[in-house]
Amino acid sequence: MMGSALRKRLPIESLSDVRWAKVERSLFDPRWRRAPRRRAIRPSVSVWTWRTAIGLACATALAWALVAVGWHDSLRSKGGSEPLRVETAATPVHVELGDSALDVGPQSRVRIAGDDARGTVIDLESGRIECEVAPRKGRPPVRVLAGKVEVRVIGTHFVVARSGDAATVDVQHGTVEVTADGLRSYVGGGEHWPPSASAPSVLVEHVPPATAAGATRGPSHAPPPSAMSRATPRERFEAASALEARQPEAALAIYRDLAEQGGGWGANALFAEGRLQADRGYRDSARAFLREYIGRYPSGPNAEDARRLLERFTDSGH
Amino acid sequence: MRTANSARVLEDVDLARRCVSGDAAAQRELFHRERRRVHTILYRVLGSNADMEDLLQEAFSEIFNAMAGFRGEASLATWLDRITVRVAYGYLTRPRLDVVRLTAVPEPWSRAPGAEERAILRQATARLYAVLDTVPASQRIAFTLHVIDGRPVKDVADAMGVSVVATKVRIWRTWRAIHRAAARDSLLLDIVSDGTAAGKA
Repeated sequence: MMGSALRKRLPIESLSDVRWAKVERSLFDPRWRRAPRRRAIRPSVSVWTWRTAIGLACATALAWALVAVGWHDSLRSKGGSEPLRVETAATPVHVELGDSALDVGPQSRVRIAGDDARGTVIDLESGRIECEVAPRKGRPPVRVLAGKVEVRVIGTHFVVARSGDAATVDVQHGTVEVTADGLRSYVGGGEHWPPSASAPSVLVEHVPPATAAGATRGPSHAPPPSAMSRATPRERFEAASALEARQPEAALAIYRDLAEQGGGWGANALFAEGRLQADRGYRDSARAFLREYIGRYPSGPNAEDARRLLERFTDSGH
Repeated sequence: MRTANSARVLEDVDLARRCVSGDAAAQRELFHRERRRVHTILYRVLGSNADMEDLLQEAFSEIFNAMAGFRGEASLATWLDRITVRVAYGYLTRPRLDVVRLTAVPEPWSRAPGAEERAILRQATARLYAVLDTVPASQRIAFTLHVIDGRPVKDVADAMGVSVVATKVRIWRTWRAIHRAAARDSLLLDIVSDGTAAGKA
């Protein structure tokens, strides 16, 4: 029988545990729940015209992506992979980048450099992109450059649009760090950058000129340096504390920065990192922060609480 | 046997009831129990597909949303098959954005044992699914589930909600399209016949 021969010869490619975990997370974890990626568009012209347009646009984009190797070395990093270029005509294009993805809007130009190991840099030259960035889990962040605006991402879904020198950022979920004109902002899910006068909800802090967008264009995993920030450690700690419920990733970024500076507020921030991650159910991360706290501040004001939290994890079998 | 089946139906109804009540543990249990079944249908019908995770998410979202309608008249597995087939049908029949895959670069040639055979099989499979792209979605589903996945025609008809005769006609029409294409394509002919594509190549 032909059928049985076909059956034997066409094995099913099993999904990796990571991909199954992604599906499960998108179904059951409210932080990751989202509509399945848009795949459908309605043709507004006859089917043949539409198909032809799609074919041409796709061919153009594919050609750009493939022949761009060797072009424009400004994004190329030492010893790394070549940058890729995607330019769309009237039709949007979907690009897969490892376990992250971006939809490049119509009439848009994008250059992509780097990789997961060293950090990916997406340079939006014009138009609009919608990005879905998988959690970095220790990998360098993904950075999106749009002129003088830089968006640094550790795992989220957001849209960047650029028109001339102006750029806007809309975040669907997660938190991104936007740097422009020496000001760093944390933009959370449902928020827009630049903030409007009626909804100035993003947290803003000053950054030294050396780290402003455009000054460093290569992949980087450096944490946000805030030693020169105008706010005192106490003010920053309180700002992070206020952000915990609404923008936990932004709060964690500030806590991390403070913890690395040390001092009394650094100790508090380190404990706060562990407590916040424990509250959010990220036990491995919480455990690491709490152990770090106990190691660095064995007699600190929160040492007892840190030990109790760690014991609770052990008791519950995790 | 009958007792075992009855117990299974009761178990299914109970699981469905707990899912409907919003019991996340029950929903996860159902997901883990049935995910390979759902994946198999989607994979057989659509072939290797970069949208697979989205489709799995969509299928299980549909399943959870429709769960209140499960009464236990059919087995839960059959009921899941119907919903999954609907999701696959919806995917095949809606216009889609074209996709540029940066992984579309040709794979480097491997000298590992069997690499050539696997490469030829992959190419032949791609050609088979290219032919399936040209037939109506209903024919493709009937063909892939019966011929490639080996399900009885009756089960395929149940999953598609049509008669056995209609299902057989769809399968036959798809075979006809494949044979026509295979007449001009030796690689395709090899994969749909009992010959070994790699051996003859």
